[in-house]
Amino acid sequence: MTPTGKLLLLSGLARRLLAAPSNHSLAAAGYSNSSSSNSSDVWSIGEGGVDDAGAASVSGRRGASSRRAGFAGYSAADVAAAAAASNTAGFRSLVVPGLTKEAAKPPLLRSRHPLTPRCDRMKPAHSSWPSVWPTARTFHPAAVPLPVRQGRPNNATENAGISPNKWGNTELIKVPNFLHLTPAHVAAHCAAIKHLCTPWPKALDEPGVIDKQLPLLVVTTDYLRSHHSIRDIRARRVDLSLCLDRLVKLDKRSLEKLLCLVSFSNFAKVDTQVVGSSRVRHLRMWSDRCPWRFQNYDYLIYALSALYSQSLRHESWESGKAWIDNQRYEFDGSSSQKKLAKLANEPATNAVTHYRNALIKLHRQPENGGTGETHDSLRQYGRAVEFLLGIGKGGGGGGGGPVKKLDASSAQQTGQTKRTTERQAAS
Amino acid sequence: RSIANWLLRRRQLSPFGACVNRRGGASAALLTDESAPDRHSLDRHVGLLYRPEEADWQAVTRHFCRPELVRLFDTLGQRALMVRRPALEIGERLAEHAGDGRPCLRFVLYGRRGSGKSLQMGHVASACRRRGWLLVTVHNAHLWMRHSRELHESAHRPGMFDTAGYGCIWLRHFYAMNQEILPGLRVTKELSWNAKESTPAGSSWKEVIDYALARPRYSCAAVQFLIDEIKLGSLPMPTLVCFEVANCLWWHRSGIKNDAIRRTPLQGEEPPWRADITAKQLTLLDAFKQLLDSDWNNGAAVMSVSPQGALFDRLREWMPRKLLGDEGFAYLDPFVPVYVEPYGPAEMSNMLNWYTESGWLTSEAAATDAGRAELAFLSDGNAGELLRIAGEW
Repeated sequence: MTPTGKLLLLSGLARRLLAAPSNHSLAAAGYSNSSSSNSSDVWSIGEGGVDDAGAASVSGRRGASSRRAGFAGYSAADVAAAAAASNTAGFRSLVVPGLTKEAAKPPLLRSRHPLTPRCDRMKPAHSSWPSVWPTARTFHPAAVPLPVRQGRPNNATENAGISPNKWGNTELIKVPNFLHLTPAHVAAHCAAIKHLCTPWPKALDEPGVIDKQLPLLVVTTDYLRSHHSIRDIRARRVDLSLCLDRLVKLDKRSLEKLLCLVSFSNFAKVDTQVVGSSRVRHLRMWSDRCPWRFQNYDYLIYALSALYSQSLRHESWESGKAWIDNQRYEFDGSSSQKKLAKLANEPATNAVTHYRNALIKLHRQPENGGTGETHDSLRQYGRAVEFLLGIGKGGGGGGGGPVKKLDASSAQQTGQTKRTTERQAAS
Repeated sequence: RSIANWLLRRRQLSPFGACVNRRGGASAALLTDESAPDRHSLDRHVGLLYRPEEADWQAVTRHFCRPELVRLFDTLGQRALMVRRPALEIGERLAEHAGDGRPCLRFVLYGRRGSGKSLQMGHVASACRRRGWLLVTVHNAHLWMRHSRELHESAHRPGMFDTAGYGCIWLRHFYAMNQEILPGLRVTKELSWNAKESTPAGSSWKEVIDYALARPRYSCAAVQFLIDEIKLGSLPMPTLVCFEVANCLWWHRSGIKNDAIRRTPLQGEEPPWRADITAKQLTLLDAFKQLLDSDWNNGAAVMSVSPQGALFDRLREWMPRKLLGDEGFAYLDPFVPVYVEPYGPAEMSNMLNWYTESGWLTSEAAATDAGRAELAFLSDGNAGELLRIAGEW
């Protein structure tokens, strides 16, 4: 085997040579494919490559070389140029593609030192941030022109004891960012939809008007968490507030029924504010029973509608309402009123009025017009009772039995005679 | 008076003597010679201390005092109680109007714990005792509801429970309080204890009480019979009912469970659901509750409401309507609520003077104005608190 043959074997191209039929005669006749027509004059065999095989092997080699040139994909022009470049003193040099070290390759496009990143090339005067970062996207260190650091080194040797920078920082990638919602973004968004909006009605700025025009107040809260999850379950709560005066068709009986129904629920209440001589009632409801905010809102609207429609509806069995079912204390029908009949004497009308007013003031809470239990209301009640029963400093007034002083002549007053006369004498 | 002079000289000689900057006459405790509570009047005796007579004290007033006050009086060897407005006002009303054939008058004393409600009731009770009234006083109703003592099913009131031990104790106490009056009282109808035994009409009350003390299981029945007699209104003298901590009568809870009887259920009977025995189910308490109603003549009722009777609940409340609840208020209505206030400046000063004179306040700092101001501030005018704090000074 010739040295060239060995080289051919080593290069792995001999497989092709052995497989393909040799067409020495064709090659000798000068037949070759069009691509290697130029190289018919060029010996692709290296210097000193003539071996003992003689012409046949040479021709075979030539043919092989031309075939090889076609298979390997190098054009004849490249090979010729390379050979010409390396050929000194008129000798053809053997160029084995893949093996021969070619000199002076053009530099690769990818090098050790990349281009300046975009964030360093960015100039505020020339670029607008919304165009750089139009939508929400994962943090990219090259696009964000901020020297952000995140993380904490465990000791002074790790990262020289300072927080890692943004390059290749996975923590910055994991957390959510709001770089897509800067004021510039918001301004751009608003400007884009401004043509669809109408101006704010000036009349709503006057106090009290907005409560009249838009009586339903819905309050929702958004929460921001710097946590691995930005969700907060408190955000689903919806509060609803409505002034009861705005509910039309609500007469006294319906209002009482509504207050009664509200007192049974654990998600609604009626706040009463005493403003001067009038009472302002607000119905307040809240819901966080559904997982999503819009579900809770829908539920509250449904509950409000149900409450209103049911309080307007009066069932036949509601006429069986007892005194104890009253929303606020009523004197009529109370046991105190019944006890007036059991008094020894018929009480005077004004005494009964004082008594009734005192009881109402004592029992009713401030939102219902009374004062609740205070020293003043208790004292007033005591005075009213004294007046009613005919006791007290004056000793006069309404009910009570005939005033019978203990006298000395009575046989029952054993041992009391002296004292009685003393007292009578003193008074 | 000589003791006061000696104390003054001692203060002058002591190293703190220079701190004393009170006027000379103000160091004396203001006592009144009038030891009869029924002769105290609103014009003259308010804010003064009086010394109760021995007989009054042993029979009546002693029961209305807290144990620590009784111990204080024993320690000091002298007794002085303050005459205050609420007791005098109630006493005035009772003297003028009660016992005239009108229904039972009711007064409810209310105030913070330690403000002196029980002592005011004691003043009224001793005044009425001197006037010859019959006294029915209950002091421990809230304790009767915390512990059961010889609890058993009632025979005279089926479905309720008797507390025989407390019944006996109360009868003994009632007898001791009204010893002079009781021999003159007679039972008007026959009392049948059971199918075989009965006490005939016309027997004295003492016999009834003796019978019940000998046969404790009928003690609550005896109490009920005596109360029925009182409610007839035919006694020769008016009756005063004093009930401390009256709000426990309408309480839905107690310290006694209904399995305190500890009997095995009869065959075919289900064991009762374990629940509290309320005041409605105790015959003794129900009997006294009947006395607080207004359907009987010739008497009056003075009661106090306190968070002590509130039993595990409403411990911070002290206003009557909240403590009595709707039911209690409706039962007692119409009544006259009487507020027992904290000490005013004059009363506080007088009390501190007496504590100093009697030797309860031993610290020299307590004699100074700053010390007295501190005592007044720490106790906040509360009589009970002052007693406890002064014990440390």
